[in-house]
Amino acid sequence: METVWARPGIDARSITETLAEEAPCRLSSVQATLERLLRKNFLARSKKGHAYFYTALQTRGDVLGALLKDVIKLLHDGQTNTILSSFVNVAERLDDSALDDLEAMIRRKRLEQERADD
Amino acid sequence: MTEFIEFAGSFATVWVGLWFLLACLLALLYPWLKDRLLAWHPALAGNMLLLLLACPLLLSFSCTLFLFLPMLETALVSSHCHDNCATHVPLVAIPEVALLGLGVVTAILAVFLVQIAKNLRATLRLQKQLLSLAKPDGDYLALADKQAFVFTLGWWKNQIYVTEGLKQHCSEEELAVVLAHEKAHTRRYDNIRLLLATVFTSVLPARISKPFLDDFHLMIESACDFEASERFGELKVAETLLKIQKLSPAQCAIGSTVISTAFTGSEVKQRITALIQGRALSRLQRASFQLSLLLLMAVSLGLVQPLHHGVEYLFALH
Repeated sequence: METVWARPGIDARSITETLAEEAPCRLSSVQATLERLLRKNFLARSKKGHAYFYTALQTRGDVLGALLKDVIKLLHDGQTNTILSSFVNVAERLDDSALDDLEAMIRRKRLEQERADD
Repeated sequence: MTEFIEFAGSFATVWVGLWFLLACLLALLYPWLKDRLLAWHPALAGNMLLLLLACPLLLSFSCTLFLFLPMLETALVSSHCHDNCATHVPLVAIPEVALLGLGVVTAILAVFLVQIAKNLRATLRLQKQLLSLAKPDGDYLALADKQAFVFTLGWWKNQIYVTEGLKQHCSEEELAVVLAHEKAHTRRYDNIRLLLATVFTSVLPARISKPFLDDFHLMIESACDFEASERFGELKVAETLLKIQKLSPAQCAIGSTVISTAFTGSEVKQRITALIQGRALSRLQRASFQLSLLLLMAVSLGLVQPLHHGVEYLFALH
């Protein structure tokens, strides 16, 4: 996806050549991966001569957004909490009055502390 | 081979039976214990709860060892004999229950391992994909997303992910609070503690084990809040928690399709309340913890004999 984002309308052979320096792989592996991404609607392709040229259907932001949704779902399920955790429970919603109460509680404590310091 | 299967199966039946019984007893006593535990400093409370959860497993295992390897029992069970001292009840192998025991233990193990493998596979795949989209930024990895969101992913080598949305809304100090909290998890090996708590309660149905695991989770989160507060103060940590809760995807997505559950007695609320109330790690609390530990050991040792004779009685009836 990185290569397709960088060079829209690229073919499998060019992707293999681009990847040769960082992660060498065979043309057939690249073609298989592109097929899978195509089936999952990440890519679109057009045929010119004998070769297919690929363009991304989803932006980097779309893919990241979808991944973060997966993270939220896993956090909500709670079954992966030994590997995945968040500072606050991202799937937990506090009602407005509870938020106001907590805010008031912190403010009161802050005032108390300031008075004690004076 | 048949003898070994009968031995192992009988051992498993007695062990799992005792484990389940003791875990149920703990679940019955827990509502009374819970309030006392939650009044302690969360680090101590978490340690005590983990020990309590370990007790049914360890006690049932040692009791079963004493029953099946009589040469060990003299240490904790007063000397006694059955049927003119010719045999020791239960007999080493109880063919009728051997298969049942083996089946139950295999099922528990299989379900547990499959679940762990499934979750591990899902998270590792996610980690690989996130790593390719994240950019290193100091102690964390930055994700170019508008949602305000921070999470930690990984087993041995945890990595903290912070979205650009969160960075835009938080000050340097607030981010430092979050990082201090997450680093405390790594330092305390909280993922291993959570895994142990899950193992210790695996014999109980999910509905019964959930309150234990929820409270344990609250205690370890709160313990890390207090660790962060040593550097930034309780109020700053409480303010940061509230701010990030307000910014969290669930809070901002009212009416949208994001999965969220509304809580009024939520974990965040309890964590902030604990910080405001302050639960200093006093000498008295440490003494109470040590005393409770001794009491727990005494109760466990005291239970060995009645459990031993109870199982013998059951199988003698059989």
